[in-house]
Amino acid sequence: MIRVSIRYKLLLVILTLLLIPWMGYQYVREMKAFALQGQEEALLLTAGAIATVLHDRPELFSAEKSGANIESEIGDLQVMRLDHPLKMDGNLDDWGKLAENAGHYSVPKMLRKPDEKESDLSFNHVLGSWGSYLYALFIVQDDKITLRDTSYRRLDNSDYLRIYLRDSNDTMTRYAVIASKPGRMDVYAMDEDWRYPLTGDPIYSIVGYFQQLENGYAIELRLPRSMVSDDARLAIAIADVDDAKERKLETVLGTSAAKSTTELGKVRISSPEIDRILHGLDKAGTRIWVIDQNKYVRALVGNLSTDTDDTRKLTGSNMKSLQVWMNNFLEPVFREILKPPVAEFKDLPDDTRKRNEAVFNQVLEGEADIDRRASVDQRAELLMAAHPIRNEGEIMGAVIVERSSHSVITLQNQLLQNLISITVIVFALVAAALMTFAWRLTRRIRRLSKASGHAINPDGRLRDAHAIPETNAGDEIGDLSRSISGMLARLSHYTRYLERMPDTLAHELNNPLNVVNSSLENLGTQHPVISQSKYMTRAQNGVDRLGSLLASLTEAGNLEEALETEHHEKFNLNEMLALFAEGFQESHPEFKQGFIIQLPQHQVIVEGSPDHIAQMIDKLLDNAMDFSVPSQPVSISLSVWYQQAILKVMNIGKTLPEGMQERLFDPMISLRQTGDSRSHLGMGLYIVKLIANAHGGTVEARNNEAGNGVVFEVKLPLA
Amino acid sequence: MSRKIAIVEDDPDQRENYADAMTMHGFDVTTYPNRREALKGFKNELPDLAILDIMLEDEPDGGFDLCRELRSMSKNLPIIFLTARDSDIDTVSGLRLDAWDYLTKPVNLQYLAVRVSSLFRIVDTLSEKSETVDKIYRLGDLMVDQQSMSINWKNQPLNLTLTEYWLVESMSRHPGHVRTYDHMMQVTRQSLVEHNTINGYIRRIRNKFKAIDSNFDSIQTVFGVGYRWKS
Repeated sequence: MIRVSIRYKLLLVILTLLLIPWMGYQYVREMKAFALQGQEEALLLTAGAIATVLHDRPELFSAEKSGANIESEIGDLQVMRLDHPLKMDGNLDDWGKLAENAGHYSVPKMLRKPDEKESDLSFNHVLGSWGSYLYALFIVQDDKITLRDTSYRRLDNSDYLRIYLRDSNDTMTRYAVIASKPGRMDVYAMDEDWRYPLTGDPIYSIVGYFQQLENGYAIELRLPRSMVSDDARLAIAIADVDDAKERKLETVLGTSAAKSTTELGKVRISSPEIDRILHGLDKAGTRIWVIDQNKYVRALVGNLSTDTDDTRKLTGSNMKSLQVWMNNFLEPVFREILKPPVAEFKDLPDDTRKRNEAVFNQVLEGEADIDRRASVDQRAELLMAAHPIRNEGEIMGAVIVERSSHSVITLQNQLLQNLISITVIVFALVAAALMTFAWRLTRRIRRLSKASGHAINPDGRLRDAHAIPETNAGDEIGDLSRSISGMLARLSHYTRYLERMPDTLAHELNNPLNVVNSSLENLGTQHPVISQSKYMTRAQNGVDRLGSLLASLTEAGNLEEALETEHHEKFNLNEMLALFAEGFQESHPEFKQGFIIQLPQHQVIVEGSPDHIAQMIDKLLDNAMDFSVPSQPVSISLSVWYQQAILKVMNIGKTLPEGMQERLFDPMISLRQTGDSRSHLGMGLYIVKLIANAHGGTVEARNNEAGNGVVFEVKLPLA
Repeated sequence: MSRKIAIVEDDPDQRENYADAMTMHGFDVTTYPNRREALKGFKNELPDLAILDIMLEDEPDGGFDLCRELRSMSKNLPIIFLTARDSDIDTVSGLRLDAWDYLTKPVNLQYLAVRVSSLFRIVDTLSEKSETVDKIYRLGDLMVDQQSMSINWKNQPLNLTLTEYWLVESMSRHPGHVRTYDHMMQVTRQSLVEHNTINGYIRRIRNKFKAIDSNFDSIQTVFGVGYRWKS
């Protein structure tokens, strides 16, 4: 039988509570899917609503609609909407993310190649607009920076920036932005060959700022927006001169080919009108695109960055301080398993457009669509909804609304965290409660089992029926306890009945025995002849034996009563045994082989009732004599061993049969032959045991080592 | 005039047997089966000696109650208890009922007659107050009056039953010599006596001595054999 405590079983049961977080996880996942779907629908509705506003307003798209073709798109300049003005001070910090991502907007076109070697020139750029200004940032990689030598009148013999601008009247204007030292740059309108400025006067409306960088330099540029009309075309190029002596123009790298006016890129400044309409929607977290049929971006408001303040903790009424504490406590675990959504991720319009071709095509065919995709850096999931914009049944463009699933995932994680925290708390509480309960339960059961185990002593006698605990408990253990208690009480009655039986029996038999006895006596007195009869003698003998039997029956019962009330005193067992052996030899002259007695020199003091100890020794000697072979003496020895007096009575004779060693001391057990002339009921050794036990001692019988006799050993504690 | 003996015993066979035996020994016997009838009879005429069974019909302690009532009628009436249980003797001692003797069943009718005669002799001696000096002997602090069958210790009378007197007398007659259990059984004049019964008598005798003199130690146990009087 494998022993498993109730405690551990309950602990196993408690483990099923761990299913709660799993269930919660499943639930939260469902909820997440639901929430995402809801968000998508909301996005679609938003897109639809915006599209509705833009329906049937061709003028919003008109400005750029003419002459647009897809090839020229290559040199288009995408202008990002800024939410603050920029300072032309060489500090790129106010460009923010745009500066880092400058390389993403277009691929520079080589306008002039160096003669023999590979060009070392490259640049990243970005354009932005705020208010009435257009800004540009060019970060140029150049191994040799050649600043303007003001002694030359020609301007094409140092590193400088070219601006190609063609207005709506197809008039081309060229500006050179050039630095003679780091800092504010000079701007000149240039001739067709980019050699000489048209006038000696610098242009002040365009502001440039030159700053040297580790591998090159950066140029910040500001143009008035009025200079770049809606259908104006613009290209910006970097001219590179490496040899400060020769000052030969090596390389020109531009945003578009710029060979002819048509090759200049369009300036994709968001349409102010649409911007105005969408202005109210310009919020963090949602990005709204308006594209035209050529997939040109007409307006872009909002951004996907999620404000970290936005990931506020869910604080409901059920958010108790304990749970908050638990949330904080488990924070590292959550971070590990939940992977919180990144608030900072990279997703920029350029790549986006390429990536969502399918959605773009779909929507431009007139069908609203929703899609999900990963951000460019694969760190976040984005939701997008697209809705077409119509003009008299014709698709004119589309509104695309994008949103990061960040908030949904944040919500999900927050829910999971709360759930896990609550579960941990509940788990701990329930486990504690159940363990306490189990502990109490097992303790009670153990107490009960211990008590019921101890209620009956090894002799099968009831110790104390009232010692059973829990009998007042109102539960099943109480029932069990009561039934055990009741059982023990009934057993106790029965045991008492059994114990009293010899006494009662003797008492009941004594009266008729007395009748027989007195009748026989009277008979003898009245008829002296009969009293001489051998039958009369036999009848008298029989009566005597019967009386003797009854007396020995009651002896044990009386003895127990006497032992309980007996006054105890200290006495020398050594001396007592010496007297005993002497007296016994005297009183049993028929036992010719005699006794051998071995006693220690010192006193052996025990506490008890000397009369009863004597009675015990008497019974042992009686027994030894009865079983001794005629030629062999009975040995008596006394020794002290570990605070115990050890009394041994040994006789040579018949050995004990197997299994009798224990039973020998039970009442009514005798090994004497049934034909024995003396009357025995097997109470002698029972009395020995009663007396030994009443003195806190033990008695045992065993065969001697030689296997030709029996040893009875009584151990009594020393006083 | 023959002596009047009342026998109260609920078992008719035993009652009649006792009555026959006593009548044969020349006593005038009246028998009663229970306490109520016995009391009625005693109120008519007090016997000279009463033999009482302890358990009487439905009254387990009927004999004790009867003894008390009888003692209230007469202070010096000899009373003998008959009992089927050893332990009742302790009850007799415990209740301090002035029984003159008690016997356990089965009783030997011869001995019963001897006992009754002895008790009558004591009664006679007490009433005559005759000082027969030669019947009195002293042994240290012990004084034994064989005529009135009474014993004094350090000049104080001991309230011993007849059997107890016989035992003390027997031991003190041979001081220093062991009186074996077999011998003492004879002395008690009962048909069946176990060692334990003798031990019980000695215990009670010692207690009675110790009530007068707590240092009393004249009765010595000879373990496994018997007792002796230490002179």
